[in-house]
Amino acid sequence: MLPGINQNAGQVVQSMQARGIDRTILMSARAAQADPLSGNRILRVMLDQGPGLYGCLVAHLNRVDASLQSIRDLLGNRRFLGVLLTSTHPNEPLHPLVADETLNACRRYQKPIFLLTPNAACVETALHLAKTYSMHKFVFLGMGGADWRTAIAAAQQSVNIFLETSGALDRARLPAAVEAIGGHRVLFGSGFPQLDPAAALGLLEDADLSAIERRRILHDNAAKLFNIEEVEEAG
Amino acid sequence: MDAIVDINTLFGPMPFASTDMSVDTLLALMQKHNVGRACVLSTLGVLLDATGGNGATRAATAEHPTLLPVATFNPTTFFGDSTPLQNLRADGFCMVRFFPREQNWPLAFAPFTALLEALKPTSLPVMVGVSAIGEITALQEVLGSYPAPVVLSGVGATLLAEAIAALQRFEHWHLETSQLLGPGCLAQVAATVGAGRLLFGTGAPAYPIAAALHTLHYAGLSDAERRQVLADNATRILSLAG
Repeated sequence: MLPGINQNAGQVVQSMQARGIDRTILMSARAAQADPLSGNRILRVMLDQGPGLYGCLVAHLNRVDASLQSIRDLLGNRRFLGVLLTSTHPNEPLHPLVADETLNACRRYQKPIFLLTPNAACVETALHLAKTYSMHKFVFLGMGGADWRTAIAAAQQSVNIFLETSGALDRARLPAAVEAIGGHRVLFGSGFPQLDPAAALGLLEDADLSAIERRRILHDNAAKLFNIEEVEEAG
Repeated sequence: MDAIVDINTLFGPMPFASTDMSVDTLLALMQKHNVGRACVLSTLGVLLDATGGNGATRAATAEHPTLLPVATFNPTTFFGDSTPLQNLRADGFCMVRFFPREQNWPLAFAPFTALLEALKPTSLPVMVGVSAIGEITALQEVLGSYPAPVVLSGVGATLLAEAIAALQRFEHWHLETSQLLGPGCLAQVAATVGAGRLLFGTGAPAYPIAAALHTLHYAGLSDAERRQVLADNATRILSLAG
């Protein structure tokens, strides 16, 4: 298994369980890079094939019609816990005007919106969206990358922002986030398969955090944000 | 098993790192993860001046025998005087590192070539940071005939195919593991060019030792291969006492 190489549900579950990870939110690379409609549908089928697998639907802002169709067809499914908004160049900020229609379509589902934030420019746009659409909760994937201070500053400005821990492996990053916004808005993420989840766990292990804060980041915050208990009780 | 050798550690001020990069922090992390020895250099040598930086490295490593001194030079200030290079081995340095991205110089760069030429009589291993596609290919011209081990640092999943192609061509080239954190990357290197070409490195204390260590643990290598990566390869190519 290598980054960029296709993987099935069984391989993902096996990798995660070997590293002590019980639940995983997956996104479809096919949906993000090629075709949202078929990518999200294939992911939907994958989610039934492995215990603890959940999905994040991908809405591609250059393929608005296909993305809206996916939202209508799939976002009501309990195994889809959120929506990722992306575009052709993930390292460039989304255009807020283009995101408008998609974000409005997501309103009735009340599921968190995921945004890629690999740098400060993306964080700025993501913050603008978070402030404009205050009825949504936003997850900043990658936490600003090397510009992680901007992501923390954004989360200080808007309480509907959650920071996801993949991105730069800087040992100072997580303690700084917890100190600034508290431990309840930081979510563990690995960025798998770009990064081995074992490495992402290693960042937490060597970060200067209390056991309570670690537990919040690894479990409690995500369980609450995504209503995991309710979702699992429902079936 | 021999104690773990981390071939990529730093101490001193670094603008990008808000972590405390003191020697004490590094030593505490090493102790936490049973790292027995670490190749280290002062960031002053990267950011300011090689002479002062290498002096700070020598001073720190003289106090702590578990730290092995690594020298660094900036080709943009190399004017052909090889005198500072001649005593590197006698001064205890085990390797020379280069930081092209941090110092903003290209790999195809005449002063770098001249500096490497001047280093050849020392037979010291060199470690070069790479960060973009194409750089490893450019390095083949510059370092293909270097007479001692060459280590590439900064190689992650996106540079892996290029790195493996270079390692297949040059048997004295190696990879440092601090960025090889994608699942399957280490196994791919081991399967194509052998685990004997991987050297455990972390970037500590700015980066977590646990990340590189856990990734290696789950890489699917045999115990013997893991031992090679963690200690044996570094002991061999850096000519360390076992």
